[in-house]
Amino acid sequence: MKRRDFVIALGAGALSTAPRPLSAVHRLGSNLQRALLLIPMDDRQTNHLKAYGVMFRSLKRGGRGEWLLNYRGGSFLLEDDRSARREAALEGVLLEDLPPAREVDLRGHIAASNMDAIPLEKAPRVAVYAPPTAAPWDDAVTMALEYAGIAYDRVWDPEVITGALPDYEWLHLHHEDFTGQYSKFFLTSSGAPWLRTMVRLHVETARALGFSDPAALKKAVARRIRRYVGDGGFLFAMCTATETLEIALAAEDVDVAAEYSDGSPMDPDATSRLHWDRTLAFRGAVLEPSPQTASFSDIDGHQVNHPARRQPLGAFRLFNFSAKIDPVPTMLVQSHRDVIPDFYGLTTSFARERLKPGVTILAEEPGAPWVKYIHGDYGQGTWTFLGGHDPEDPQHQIGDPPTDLSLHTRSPGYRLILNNVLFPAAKKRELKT
Amino acid sequence: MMRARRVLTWLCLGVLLGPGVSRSQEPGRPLEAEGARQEGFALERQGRFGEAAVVYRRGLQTAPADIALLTGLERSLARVGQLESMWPFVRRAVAADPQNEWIRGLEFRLGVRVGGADSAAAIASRWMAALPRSVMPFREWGSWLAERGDAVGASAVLAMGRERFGDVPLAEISAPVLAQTGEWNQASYQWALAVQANVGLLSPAAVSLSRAPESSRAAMLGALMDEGGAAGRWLASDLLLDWGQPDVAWTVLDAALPHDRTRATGLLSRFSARALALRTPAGFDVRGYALERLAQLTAGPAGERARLDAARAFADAGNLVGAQRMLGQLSWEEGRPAGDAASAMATFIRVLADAGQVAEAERRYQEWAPRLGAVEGTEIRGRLAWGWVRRGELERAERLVESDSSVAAVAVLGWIALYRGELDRARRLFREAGPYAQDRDETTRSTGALVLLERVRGDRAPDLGRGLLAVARGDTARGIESLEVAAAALPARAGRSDVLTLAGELAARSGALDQAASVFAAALTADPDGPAAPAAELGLASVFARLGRTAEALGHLEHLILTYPESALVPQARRLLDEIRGAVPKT
Repeated sequence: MKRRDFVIALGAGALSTAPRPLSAVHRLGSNLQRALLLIPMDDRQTNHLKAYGVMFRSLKRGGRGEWLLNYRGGSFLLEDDRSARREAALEGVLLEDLPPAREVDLRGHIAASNMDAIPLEKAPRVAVYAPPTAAPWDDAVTMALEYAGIAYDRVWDPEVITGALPDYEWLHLHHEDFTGQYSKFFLTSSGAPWLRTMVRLHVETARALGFSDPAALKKAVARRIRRYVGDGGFLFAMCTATETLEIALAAEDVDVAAEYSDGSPMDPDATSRLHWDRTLAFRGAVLEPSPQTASFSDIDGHQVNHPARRQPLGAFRLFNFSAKIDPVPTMLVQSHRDVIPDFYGLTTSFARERLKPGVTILAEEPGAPWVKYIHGDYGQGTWTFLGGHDPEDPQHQIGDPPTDLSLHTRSPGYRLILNNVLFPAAKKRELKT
Repeated sequence: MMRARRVLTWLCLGVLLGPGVSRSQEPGRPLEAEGARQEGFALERQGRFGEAAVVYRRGLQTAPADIALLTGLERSLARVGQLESMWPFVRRAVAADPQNEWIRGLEFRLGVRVGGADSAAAIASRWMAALPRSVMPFREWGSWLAERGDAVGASAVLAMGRERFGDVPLAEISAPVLAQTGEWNQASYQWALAVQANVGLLSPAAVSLSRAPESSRAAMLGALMDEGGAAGRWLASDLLLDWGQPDVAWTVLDAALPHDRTRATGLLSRFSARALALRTPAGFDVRGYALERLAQLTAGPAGERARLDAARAFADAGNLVGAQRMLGQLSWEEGRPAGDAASAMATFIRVLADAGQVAEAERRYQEWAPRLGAVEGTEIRGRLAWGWVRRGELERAERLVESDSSVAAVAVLGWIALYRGELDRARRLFREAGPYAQDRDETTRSTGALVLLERVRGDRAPDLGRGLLAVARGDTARGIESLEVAAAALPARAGRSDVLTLAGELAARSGALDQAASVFAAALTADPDGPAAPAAELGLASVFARLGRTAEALGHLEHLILTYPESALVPQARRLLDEIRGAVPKT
């Protein structure tokens, strides 16, 4: 099934607000008559992040589960089995037994509230787009996956160009610069060993794949990623990857890269020549012309590396969706906290006026001209963008020690990332006829 | 930073050249230009940039080279995104005042924006022809190329400029460009020249050069020392400190200190602060030398403070001779604050005691005791007692603290009793001292000892005491041996497992991993369900992890977590589990 069908079916099935008989859907207890385990995700949970891993691995073993949207912070229900209990004990994840009588109460409560139970049936195949030289600690998503114990493959430009993406149901973009300008640190960090390694790797990869320079390669990669989403893939991106992917897509025939990247300066008219009808989320952005300023455009609301335009960090609020009418955005915002402290990245947030019509805002800073977390459809697939680099390292600087997630086991910011990983595991509900 | 400096340069030039500009204006129309200036400013303040641009344009009709009007027009047009429309006015300004440096700069900035690299070369060439004695076109052109990432082009332009004007005027711009192109020796030389002209550039220079690859460093240091003059040596000293050679760094700086007292003290203060940041014994040591030299150059209370800080730095470095020298100088000076001297002496005594010179430390203590505070005195007596313990002289240690009723002293007496194998007395003294005997580390140690004593049956255990004393004296191997002997004499469920676990922890800490694994395994076998079992199993897993026996480590950790879910060691076990699996970064 294509993702788009899944999303449409999920929404259609949920449109009826009338209580449904339990047998109408694939409920765990009612169909299997087995004891159930509840993984509560409210403040009683002792390790929220590892809880996602316990659920993911249960699905991977062929088990089934349910995601109880808005119930105790977005709890999980799974079949009782020794492996799940053992894993939860080892990982320090709180489980609760759910006897049949309590299950009836729980389902009644869900039916009568802004809650819903979404079946989870299959662990998605996960790919992380990251250069081979990147350590797992370079990127918040990789850290979250490693910590939660969620298996993933690493793919990069060669795999994307040679057509490996359709093998995966979920793709995360490492904080890559798809304009091919090395995150615009080329001038300010010149001589730094990590930058030299990065430049050499990108130049050699571009040449090996038959492209004149990294900027040309990244544009081709961006188009492949767009096609992957269009064909039904789930895309999740954070930080610079969000903004630069969009610029690369809009700039198919336009030189937006600095001279150090592709041998020719940025087209002075680049901003006016971009084609925003080719992008997923944004429109009408004005590009940053200076090759020395590590900022790409006015899509980012915070402009952390632009002294004159830098905005202070606040906090963002997750939108409260109707679980029965909008199950997809509801899944993406499941958390035990509604308000989360903001965190910087090369792209920290998204200017409201740059969002295309139809983009769903999942989280915003009330009153600010920017939003933090957005979602939308493209073709048969979906994309989700989260601004910022690391939810638990708000001022992240190059060279900072890696975040140790065992010190942030209840991180609501990291939960947003892991919601995205489990989101493709949700199965469409049977439609009522 | 380079850009900011260039803007400042232009602003200064603008101010300096301002009066000259008026000479080129039409003599009969200054009032109209002044009116346009004022009206334009007012409109800008209201955010009406389009209208301001119109007013400035009008003013420039009568005063085409008026810098205030040109600046205002540039500002306003930039805000409305029409900067390119300024080009005709700039051309007119150049024609009206071809010798004006500021207008040439504006022409360059705007020209490259409109025409790119070709325009840059053409405009810069015209500028050079019009003002052949000006270094500015080389600075502007080179900086512009560097900002575009064309370090090679920038380097060539700046080399041309240096050929014409010498190295000094372009050193500050050339140095970072040369670093960018990897010409580290040249970059070092240019930075040295820049620092010689402006010592405030020492930090940016050091940051720029410190990124050099290891293979280039020796030659760079050679270039700085041989050709960079005094500034080159200061820079070399900075780099040596950054690159982990603090002793050589100090030698280089010491030999290159200027005669100018103000500059010398500035360099010494800077060096001592940077050395402190290293937080290594060698860093503390060179900090001590720098402060000692600073004290020689500084009179009065500031000199006294420098000497005290030097004494502490030497003490922290373990340089007893240096600390003693500084303290000796203090004692001869009059009018110093007695508290400061006593505090420095207390530090010195602690260092002497920790270094094993306990008799000398005790002599100093007896001499200074009247000037030390009660709390400090107690703390030093404890330190001296531990000094004697480490030398195996339990009687001398006991004599120092036996008349002291403080909880810290009682805890020390508890340890002495334990080392003698007098378990009953040790239990009583540890209980009397309570859990808050001294600092956190000591409290943890005392509490651990008390827990061990509660589990070991019997009133006397000389082997256990001997083992613990050997450990306290730094002879871990003998300590472990004695502890194993002591454990063998104890019943399986009455302390044997605890003593073996302690021996295993000591072996693991000393790096004897195979021995540690065997002792931990023996502890687990002795009492698999006893209170020491989680610690023994965690210790065993940790040793296996260090030995690369990952599967066995994982097995023990999982067993520990699942078997003793309520143990206080479970979080540590989970942490190790995550580390072995690679789920968290190694700490």
